Amino acid sequence: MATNLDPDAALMLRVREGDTAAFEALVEKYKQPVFGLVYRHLLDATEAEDVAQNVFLQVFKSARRYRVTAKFSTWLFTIARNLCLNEIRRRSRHPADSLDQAAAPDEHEAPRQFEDAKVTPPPDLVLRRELEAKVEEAIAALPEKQRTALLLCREEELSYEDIAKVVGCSLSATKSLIHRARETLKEQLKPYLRTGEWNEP
Amino acid sequence: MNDPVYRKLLETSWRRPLTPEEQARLAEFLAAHADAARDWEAEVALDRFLRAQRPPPLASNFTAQVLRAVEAEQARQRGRSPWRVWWEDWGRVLAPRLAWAGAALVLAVAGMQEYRYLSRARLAQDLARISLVASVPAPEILQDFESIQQLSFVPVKPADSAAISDDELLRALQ
Repeated sequence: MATNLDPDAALMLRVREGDTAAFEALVEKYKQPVFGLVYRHLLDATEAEDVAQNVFLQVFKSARRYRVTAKFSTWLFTIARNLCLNEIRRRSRHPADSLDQAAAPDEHEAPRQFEDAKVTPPPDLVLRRELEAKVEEAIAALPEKQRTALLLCREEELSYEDIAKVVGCSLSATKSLIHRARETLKEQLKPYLRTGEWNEP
Repeated sequence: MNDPVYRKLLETSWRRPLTPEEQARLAEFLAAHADAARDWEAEVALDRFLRAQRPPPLASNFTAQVLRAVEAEQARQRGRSPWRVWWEDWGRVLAPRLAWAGAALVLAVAGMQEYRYLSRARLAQDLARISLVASVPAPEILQDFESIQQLSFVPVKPADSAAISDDELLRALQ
């Protein structure tokens, strides 16, 4: 059994024994995908960072009752999704509140960098940003389950079965969610897809 | 396009770039299906769009912030009583399950009680019916019962009912 153990689950078992280095390794490995998922749900980098931090804190707090019943990544993304949904619910209940206001200022926190508005970006970059914004907008407009399934589909760690567990659907329903999400995006971005004017950098 | 081969290749392409073998199979399929070729072009373009989407960069000290939050959590845990630690680790998880189990137990006990009550009621009804049978009239009253019953077997001729002879009646009574 030990030979088949998911490496992340093995790290998590070490976390359960109080190994902080193992926890750090997990955070390093998953911080970007978790942040990416959370950001696409909340569309606010600062809030997304707070929620992503909370995801890892939840993982640490739950370490003592962690049992290897599923892949670690499935469990992690399920926590991330649930916290996103909680945050979206909280926002809808208190639309005026923001995590920025609630969070106490942290002197250790690195200041976020903002673009210098005086510098005019080249036209290609302007077009690219406009297109990126369109894609971002189209992804944000997708129903939550379709969006989550579509985003998780890009994660190499997760199989379709794992994605199905995170979104709480059957395998065929999950594939259908992804298909529908892609069809919607193709419809929304049709003018750009046709011209093919956006090439990879 | 609902062709299973195309569908399988499409689903694979959503996850990872196709292998040369898969690409060859796809090319063969697309050569025969113009509709699918157009759809595939749109899929490839959409993939390019999605790959180019990157979330804003994460703060460089993100891991350090998480570890600080974890240290703060550990310090908080050290200051708590063992009972509180147990409650936060397990109690909060187990409490709803225990509540559901308790509710199921209460329902089961109530169901059992109801069943016993209904069984008793049915038994009481059966006893009441038996007591009715026990109170039938004395046998002497019924001594001519069979003779009277036999009368009903005497054939009646509807057109001329008065024509039943005394002989027939006597035969029936014998």
